[in-house]
Amino acid sequence: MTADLGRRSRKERKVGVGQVDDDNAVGDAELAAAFRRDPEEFQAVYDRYRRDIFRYVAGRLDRQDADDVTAETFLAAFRMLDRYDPARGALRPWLLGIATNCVARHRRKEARHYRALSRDRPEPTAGSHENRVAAAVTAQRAKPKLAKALLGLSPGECDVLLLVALGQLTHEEVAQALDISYGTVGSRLNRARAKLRQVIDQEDLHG
Amino acid sequence: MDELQLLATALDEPDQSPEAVDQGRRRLGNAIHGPARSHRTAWTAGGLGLTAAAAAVVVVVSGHTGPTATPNGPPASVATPGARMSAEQVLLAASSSALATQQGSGMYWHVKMAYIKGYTSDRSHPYTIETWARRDGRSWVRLGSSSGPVRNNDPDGPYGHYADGFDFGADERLTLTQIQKLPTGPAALKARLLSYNRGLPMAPALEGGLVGLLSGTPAPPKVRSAAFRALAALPGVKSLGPVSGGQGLLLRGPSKNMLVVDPRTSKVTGTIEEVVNGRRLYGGNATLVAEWTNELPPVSTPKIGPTEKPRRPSTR
Repeated sequence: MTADLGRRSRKERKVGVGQVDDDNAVGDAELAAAFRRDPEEFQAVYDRYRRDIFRYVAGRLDRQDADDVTAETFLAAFRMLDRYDPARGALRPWLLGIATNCVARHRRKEARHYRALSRDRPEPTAGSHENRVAAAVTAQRAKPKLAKALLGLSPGECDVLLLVALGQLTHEEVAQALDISYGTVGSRLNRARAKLRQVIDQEDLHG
Repeated sequence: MDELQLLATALDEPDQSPEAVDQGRRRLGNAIHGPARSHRTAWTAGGLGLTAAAAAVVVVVSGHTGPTATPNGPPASVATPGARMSAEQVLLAASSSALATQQGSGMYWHVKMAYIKGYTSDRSHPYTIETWARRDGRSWVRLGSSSGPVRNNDPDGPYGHYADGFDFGADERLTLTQIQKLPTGPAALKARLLSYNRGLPMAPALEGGLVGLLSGTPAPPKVRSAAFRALAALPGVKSLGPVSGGQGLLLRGPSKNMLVVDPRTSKVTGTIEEVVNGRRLYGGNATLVAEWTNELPPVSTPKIGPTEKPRRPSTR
């Protein structure tokens, strides 16, 4: 099933490293041709990319708003179908760009979400020493600080940072998604990462 | 790990609930082939095999209120309930009753439709879409069931728009004043409805427009009467005999449009099987409610989570 193909390739991507993912390039062109012929086929796009869109949006809004914005993203994408050109890029960056616009309409909710996270007390550590769990525990401890740092980013910096970190887009794909230059992606990302580094320390990164 | 991996892990969330996934899929499905106004598709046809199922839909979900006839009652030409009338008799009777019905009054035009997708849904609990259109054009919608949230349905709003009785064609939203001034002669009304549905072939545009007007819009009595007469003049309309809610009629065409018309009250509910590109998309739909009301249920506001305290919002 095409949806499974999408999920498998997502697990292999590394966060933040500029890996180009061609796994779905052929799939997207086929999907686009299919839904041009028959709009009903757009459901296949929802099936394939819903999880990725939700993962990105749920990092920016609380769960109920994230459910709404995920659905809104696909509705908006459907209304703009004729603006998607497979030659200019894959579906995922296009959809994440639309999702970013939807999130932008909820800036106050996003700020409220991060303020809530920044006030949370770090959760008590779990007993296990396994690497994967330790990373998650470390991240949970750092979450309030990270949320506070996100509040200090400009909208543009936040969009770029989270498209890379949560959306797992390359710099080129971020440029496509936000319709900005490749150079702007780099400079915004650098500023955002620098602001993050100011609030986190070695202990946060290495447990 | 680096700070990006830390961020990704910290903000990682479990996937959506199955209900949320399904809700999103349904909203998209409605936009693709359902009531969202820019995607109203041509009407459908089929054999009489659908009739039993369609009638079952109406039987299961009926419970509607509609315009009430005046105490003077229906014209003498209406046959006794349960008798079989010809299609033309049904439509002409309804055309007279329409003149005699009060329009009702209220702040909101309330429409409730039930959707049954043949192979996926439970006919005793159909998926419903309920809209309230205020006289000034503001609009609200409730999706799925009566326990769902009532949301903003404004055409320029953030959630997409579901047809609410003020939408008359692919991109034609009328004001209440314009609806009240629609033509009151069948020929002029037909021409106007065709002009609102230029993207469709003539027959489906006419039938869809007329049935849509009669089953779900606050068109005034003379306009409704003209619409019935326009339908009565269409060739190939068959009578299906008495069904729950009135008399069943089958319109001609490549698609299967079944109507239920109550000749005494002029109330119309429709059961439609939509087909696009030869593929059936819907099992059917029925209009449960189409009336003026003063009641709008409480409109949903976003939930505040347990860790949040209400605060004066500040800019980032």
